[in-house]
Amino acid sequence: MSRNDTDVIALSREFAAREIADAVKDDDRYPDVPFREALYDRARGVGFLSLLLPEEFGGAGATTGALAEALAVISETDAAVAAVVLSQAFAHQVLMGAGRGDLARDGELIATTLYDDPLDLSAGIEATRKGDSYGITGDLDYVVLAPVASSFLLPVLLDGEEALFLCGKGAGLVVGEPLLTLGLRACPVADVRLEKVEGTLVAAGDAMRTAYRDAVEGLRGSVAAIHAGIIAGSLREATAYARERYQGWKQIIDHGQIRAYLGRMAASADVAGELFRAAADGRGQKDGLLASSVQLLVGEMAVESATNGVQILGGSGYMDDFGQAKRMRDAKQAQGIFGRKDLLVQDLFKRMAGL
Amino acid sequence: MDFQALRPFVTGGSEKDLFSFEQTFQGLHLFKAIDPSYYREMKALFERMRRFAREEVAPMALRVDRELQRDPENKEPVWEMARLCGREGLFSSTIPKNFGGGGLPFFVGAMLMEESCAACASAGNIVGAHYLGYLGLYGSMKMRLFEKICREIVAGEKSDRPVIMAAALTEPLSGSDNFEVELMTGARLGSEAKKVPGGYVLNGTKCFISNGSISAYHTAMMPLDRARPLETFFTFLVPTGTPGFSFGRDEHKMGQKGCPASVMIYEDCFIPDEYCLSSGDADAELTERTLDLMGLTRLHVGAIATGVARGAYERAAAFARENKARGKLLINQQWAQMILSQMLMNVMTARATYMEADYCDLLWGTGKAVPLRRGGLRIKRFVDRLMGSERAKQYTDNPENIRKLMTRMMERSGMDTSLEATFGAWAKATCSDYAMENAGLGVDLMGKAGLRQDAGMEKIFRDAKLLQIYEGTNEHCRQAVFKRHVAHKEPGIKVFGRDVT
Repeated sequence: MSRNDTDVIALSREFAAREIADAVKDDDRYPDVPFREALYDRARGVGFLSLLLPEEFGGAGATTGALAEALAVISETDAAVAAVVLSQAFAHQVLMGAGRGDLARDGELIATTLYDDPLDLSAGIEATRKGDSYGITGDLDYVVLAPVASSFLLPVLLDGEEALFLCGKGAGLVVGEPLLTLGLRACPVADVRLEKVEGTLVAAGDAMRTAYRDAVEGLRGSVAAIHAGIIAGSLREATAYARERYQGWKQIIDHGQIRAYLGRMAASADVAGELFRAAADGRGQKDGLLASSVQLLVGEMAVESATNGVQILGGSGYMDDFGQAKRMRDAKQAQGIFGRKDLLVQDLFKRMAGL
Repeated sequence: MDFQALRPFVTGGSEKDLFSFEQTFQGLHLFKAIDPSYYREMKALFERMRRFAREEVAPMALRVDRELQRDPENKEPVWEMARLCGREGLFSSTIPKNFGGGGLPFFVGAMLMEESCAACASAGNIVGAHYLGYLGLYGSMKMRLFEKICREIVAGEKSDRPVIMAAALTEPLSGSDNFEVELMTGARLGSEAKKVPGGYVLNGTKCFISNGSISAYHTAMMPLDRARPLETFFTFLVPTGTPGFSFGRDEHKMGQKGCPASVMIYEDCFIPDEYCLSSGDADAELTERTLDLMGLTRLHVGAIATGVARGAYERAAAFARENKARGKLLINQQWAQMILSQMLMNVMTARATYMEADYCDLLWGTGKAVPLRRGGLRIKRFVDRLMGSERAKQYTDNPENIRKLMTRMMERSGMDTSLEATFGAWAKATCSDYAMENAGLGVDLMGKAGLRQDAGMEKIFRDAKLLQIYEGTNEHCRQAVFKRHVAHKEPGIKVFGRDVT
């Protein structure tokens, strides 16, 4: 890990403690409270919104390993903020993969199709040529950061072929009401309608597919990192509660079943940490199988851990006063990043078997 | 896509609906022979409830959930849901006919719970929590008081101002402890009632009380002596507005938002003797047998959970019928078919489980009031009328008579409360685990649509989790099954680290 990477992790810890921790509960009420622009101004200021972007484009030039570490740290406090950082990193990776890092400007938020299946893109919208420019028309649902982004990186059909366009917010682009989502609520999502919107062609055909899918594969470890952070947070809160709460004559931490839950959570936290690191550094990228496997399994561990985290707190765990209910929702929501996990399983086997 | 337009996926037209009465409840066919009028009544009621759930509850469920997400303190959406249930007569359906109610035995309630909760868990929970309070009153056998409250409930429905009940047991420092005698003695109870001339004075705080802040009456359970909870755990009927009683805040829950969970505060709250629902000190055995009857309420949570599991299946199947992944309809992809099939089997297994518990209650528990023979329902209604007579009221005005009557019922009727508790705990834990599994599978199957509130599945995911917690956590239910089915039958086995009774 480079000095730069070490700095990123230290900065994440400080940022989570100073800027995020006190506002988690309020931020989770989005879209019924305003998006906290000021938080992201500060995140932009310290480079979180352009972590992977090379310095030549104004980014921090961090590695995907450092990004994943940062996301794990932030997710221990609030996975929704980590999801914003991830969505932004995803947009930048796609642009870089397409050789258009120059289109990423100074940490401005870019809306993406973070929850879309990389093998099932551009179902909703089409681009048509108008001389040297393009007009894009159609409906796209569940676009991440759409309510707050200044530009949109969207998969589009161009002459029957998959393509990627970058559009600015402007005439013809209508962002729907922010959606209330299961989890990661402070990472805004909305449906988008485009009517002859002008856009810049980023890549088309194989170049587009390669850029998009490489970005997905390269960041699967980062999704696992978000899940690892959720597990760590859930374990911490559940353990603290179990030390304080009594049932019958004993603290609940002395009940065998509670220890069994906590033991599994602790094992998951350890293994998730090792796995996301393996997936996020070079190993995961050379062999996409590992990254996919890690995203799949760490996601399942996180959902189980966060769900048991609620259970350990009983009725309290189900209430917003504690963080466990949010973690449970966040864990399930994050499982949807990059498409259905059941299709990921199918793909894993096909790739493994060379089908 | 218009997610609101998704309708439950009905296989092969309504007459072949897998969830039709005939196809769903195989065991109930026996009632055609045992008591045909009972069978006909159940079927008609079931079909009415299905129409109500699909046509009236379902269309408002997501809106109510969304409004309460925006403002958890807003009671209007809750009342809207409550009034809807009241217009359907759900708060009075088991009230004896001679008091103006529907006269249904509790046995039918579970099936109705499943129906309403397939549309919205909150709607079912409002009704279920009402009956938790009602059961405390019913079980007290104070017929004069019982009739008074029953008639108020019936009148409330007729005037579109529902009179809703609740039951308050859980406290900030003790929850599932209060369901087992081995834990009760160590429970950190903060509440206490004191006998004073003419009544009792209640002090303490209860929390997570379903229906709390919308209740007109609730049953509050607390000991007269915290050092001897087993012997002195009493139940009181507390009318809202009683001096010294107040509501704290409504909790901000993850799901089931349409049914409030409230804090209840008692500060020198005086309750007159006639509102004390207990008839004297108990002993550990009687307390345990009384707690065992919670098997009835737990099996109803099992039915609620089955409804939630079914709601997940119906929504997922409807979605899969109309949406594609990678160019093919989901419903034509084998992996998706396997998920849907698993969800459907989970529903069927859950239903079989709670129905077994329901039969157990009918045979060995509170359902003994309905004799299993031709004309059994008519006999039950005759007994209801008898219990509502002036003579019965005079008899039950005396707590000592109630005590004798209850002891006689427990000892001579052949009730097996331990079996009731075992089956109830089994149903609650099993069905709620299936509900949670189905909710997760449904979210997965629907992809990003599963993650948005307006598509409905994410609400089911949030709603389902509470089922594993309330009415005794599932871990507690497992322990309850072990205690009664294993530890009670073999010498030398300790539960909760203690010898079992």
